[in-house]
Amino acid sequence: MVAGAAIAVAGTAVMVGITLPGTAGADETGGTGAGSQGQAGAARPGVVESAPAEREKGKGTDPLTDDETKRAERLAANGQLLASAENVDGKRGPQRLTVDLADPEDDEADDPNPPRRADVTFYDYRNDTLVTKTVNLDTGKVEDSGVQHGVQPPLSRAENAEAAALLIAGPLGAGLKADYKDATGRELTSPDQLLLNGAVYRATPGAQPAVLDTCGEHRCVRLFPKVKNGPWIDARSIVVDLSARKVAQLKRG
Amino acid sequence: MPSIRTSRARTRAAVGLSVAALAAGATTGAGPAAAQPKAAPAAAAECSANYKIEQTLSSGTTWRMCWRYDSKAGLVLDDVSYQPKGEAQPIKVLNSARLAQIDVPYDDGSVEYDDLTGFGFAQGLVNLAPGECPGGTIKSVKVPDSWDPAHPDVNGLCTTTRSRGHAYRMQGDTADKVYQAQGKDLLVYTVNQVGWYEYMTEWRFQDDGTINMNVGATGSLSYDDYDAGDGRGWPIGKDASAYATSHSHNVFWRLDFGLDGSSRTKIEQYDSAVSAPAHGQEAPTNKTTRTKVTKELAGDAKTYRWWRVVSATGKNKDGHARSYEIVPGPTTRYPGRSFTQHDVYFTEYDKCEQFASNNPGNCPAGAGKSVDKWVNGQTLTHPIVWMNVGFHHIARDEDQQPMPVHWQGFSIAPRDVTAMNPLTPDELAWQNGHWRPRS
Repeated sequence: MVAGAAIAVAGTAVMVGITLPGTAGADETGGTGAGSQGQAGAARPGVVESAPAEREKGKGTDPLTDDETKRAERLAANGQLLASAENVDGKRGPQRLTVDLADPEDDEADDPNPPRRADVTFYDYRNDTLVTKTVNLDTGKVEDSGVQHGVQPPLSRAENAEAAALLIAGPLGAGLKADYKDATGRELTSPDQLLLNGAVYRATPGAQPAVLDTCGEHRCVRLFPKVKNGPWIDARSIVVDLSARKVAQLKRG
Repeated sequence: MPSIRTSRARTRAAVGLSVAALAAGATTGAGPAAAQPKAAPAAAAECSANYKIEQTLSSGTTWRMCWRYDSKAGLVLDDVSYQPKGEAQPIKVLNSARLAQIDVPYDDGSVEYDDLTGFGFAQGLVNLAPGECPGGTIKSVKVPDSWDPAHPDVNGLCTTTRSRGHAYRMQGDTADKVYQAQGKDLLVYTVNQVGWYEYMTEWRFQDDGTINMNVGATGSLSYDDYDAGDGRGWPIGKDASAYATSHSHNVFWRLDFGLDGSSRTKIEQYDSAVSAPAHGQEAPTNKTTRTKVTKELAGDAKTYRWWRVVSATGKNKDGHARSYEIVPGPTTRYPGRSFTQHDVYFTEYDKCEQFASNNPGNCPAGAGKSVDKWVNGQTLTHPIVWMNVGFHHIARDEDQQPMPVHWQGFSIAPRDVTAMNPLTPDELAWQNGHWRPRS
């Protein structure tokens, strides 16, 4: 109990004095009641790290490396899927959606080094199915495979772009094109001119024109386009059915 | 206490141990998270250094975790461990922690977004300016299918530290003696843009072992929707114009506990019942009872009820089983959907059960697509905790422009993880249990 408050207070002052710029944390500004530290803006800005160099293989729960992602995709898209499936452009081969590090099996939950696996998802536009394959990256085996109908995960960039292309090409794209021209003075001719967010549209009884009633089984999207370095354009009243390659307007404005 | 020795070494200041623990200016542990020297032997490395976040806070507590980025959930924190100054080894808390949904229904019934599973939440990770991560480090995140194709690598993950004010205060026996400490937190956060909204996903790791997880919504209201009627919106333009449509944000977190390195945790529910004073008693009585939750459960928060997750293997130095208590935050439970009707769900681990609604995981046919369907009587051996926190946003004039951040979330707090306050100053370390004043 001898190292009391008096020493601690002195210590505070000393420490503040020797804290070098660049090593101080954000708590330099946040000290409630620490009078000498109350000045907002005293903390240095964050240090931006560059993207870490990737190895061929990740370790433990590391994000998948580019090599692992490509390998998982290749192993998952086997011959039959490649031959029979159809992508968002209507071409042969499944539409690539995502490749993620898979969660461990239950009996591996406490294993510090379980096998690294990837969950690879595709959408097959030929029969409107979501295909999930789990690939063991250590053995190269596809350990699990599933096909779901009526399940619509978020849209990939390629799908948002295709939806925008369909919209731009059709009469319902007039508003989008006009807004784009207002914002930029230029013509909108390609999805590349936009940044594209998209929300899955799932039909509910009575909420949409009949042409969109199959959305949910079909893969449909409501686009949120933004001019690159420019404003958002509201296109929420329009839904693009990527499975049927049709564009339609919702009843509500 | 190797961490304190480290603090001294790094400050090169010849001051006492208690000073290092007490001084608000001892920010030695508060620099960039990646820049920490290895003070104590870490648990078996479960990720490479690039994906490790390790922070020794100035009070001597070290948090360690691994991060990755999922194509739908966004930021995922794995293998989270806590090591207060008096513990020789890190104490594992969580196998994995992540968001499990942001469900956004509008009050006029016009639309409902599932931001994680149907919208581009994860794709919408945004760059943080250096000033948005004061005192910290911004890590580069490889975003699968990032919405801006020109920037697949996003400077999007901030790790930094922040003071939270008093961790404790206690008057000593003499008038000029005060025991006090300013608490320090490790903060880990991202910002994800979904349409006009921007969501801040913040994880706050306190030096006393508490973890706070919050989602803040900011950005801009849906300004083309200012057409709601009375009872469905609020006028935020001049006079009775521009009715912003009210809506809810129902946010879900998925926590996979691995206390002391074991996933075989136990769930307990505690309820207290207050009775009127009996004859001869000065006050009402209150009786607390424990219910072991052995099967999957959809739980409802209520006053005098709480839950905890108990370690199967670990005990503290008092011989008490380590546990983490679930501390709910304010919530507006949304009655409109089956999966939002309960505050917490405890389900048996299943790797295909990933999101609280519209789950795209590869579950067998008939498994159900939302967390409420997964509560079906299974015995809990490896419980997953799903927390649902709702916020009903009735806009106000102040929401323009930008919209101030509105937060929702909850905490998990250590209960008997250590035998005493993990920040106890050394000279009080003997005051455990039924102590008597010493002279």
